[in-house]
Amino acid sequence: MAIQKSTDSSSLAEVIDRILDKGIVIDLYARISLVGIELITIEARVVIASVDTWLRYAEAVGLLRDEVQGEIDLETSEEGRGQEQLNFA
Amino acid sequence: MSMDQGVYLFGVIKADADFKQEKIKLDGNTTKTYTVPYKDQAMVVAQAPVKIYDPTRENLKTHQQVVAELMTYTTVIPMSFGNVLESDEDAEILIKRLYDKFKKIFPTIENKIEVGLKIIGNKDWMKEQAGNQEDLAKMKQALQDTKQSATHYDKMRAGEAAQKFVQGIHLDFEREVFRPLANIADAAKSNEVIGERMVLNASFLVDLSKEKEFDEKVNEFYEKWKDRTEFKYTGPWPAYNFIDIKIKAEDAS
Repeated sequence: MAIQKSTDSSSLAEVIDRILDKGIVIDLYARISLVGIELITIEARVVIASVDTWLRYAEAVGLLRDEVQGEIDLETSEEGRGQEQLNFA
Repeated sequence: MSMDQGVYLFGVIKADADFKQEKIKLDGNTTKTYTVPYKDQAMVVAQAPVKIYDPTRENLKTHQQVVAELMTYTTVIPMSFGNVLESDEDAEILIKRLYDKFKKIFPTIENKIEVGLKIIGNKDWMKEQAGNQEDLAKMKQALQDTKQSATHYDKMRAGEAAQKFVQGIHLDFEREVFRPLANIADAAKSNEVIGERMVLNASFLVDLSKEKEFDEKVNEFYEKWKDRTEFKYTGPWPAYNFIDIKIKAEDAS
């Protein structure tokens, strides 16, 4: 069967993925009032992969024994994304 | 408790667009969308309290739906979630400052849609692939031969190797799937993969005249890979992935 694109509500993760930090973003300090404020555009982001990330890769491809294999399915790991990515403005 | 009223921002459209006002629910309050024009551009806003908006399901949905609705009849440069200014005047200032930027952006996204394609490897297939890698197979054997549990160092080493392996698959998919699709698209972006089994996390800006061709190409890859991977093909979205403007007040850093 053919695959068709959709934006139905089941893809809340897709919505979050887009609208939380993409498009036009105004830094918290600049919100409220812009009268008399000089605006500059910034672009700086650092992503840090942690040891935990590596371990989950090892688990995912079946390198490690059961002792470290948790119930990490895709959904859980997507939620855990915030923990492995630190964004610095 | 009453909070100061401000304007919540949804996105920038052309001022001559046939704007349709909408009644919306934002953070439990009912409000209406309207436009704040500046020259031939306009910010779509709604009156809402000045505060930090929690990304609740309802709020996210409202934001997405307003932008999606705009997209059905005009070109929209989307705002990110939760941006609120004090007054209409501020919204006008924002457009004024970014007017030239927006002017350049509009033609690049006109009559185009963003689509997303995530490909996630089946667990068994990933394991099988890993098993075919000599170094990983050796490492696995070594880890499982160890009488005592493996040291933290060993696990880390295995994990690092596994991540490299998965990234290798990611690169394969970028070459085999992403590039041919990118050739049809006007713009394409391969985002960082999320989680351990995602092998592609891409966004494409597709001209409406090429939408069908693009869909067909995605299906071609889907047919080839559907037994070994899961495809998440989404859209049409506003061009979030292709508009990246971060605004900061100069003294705030």
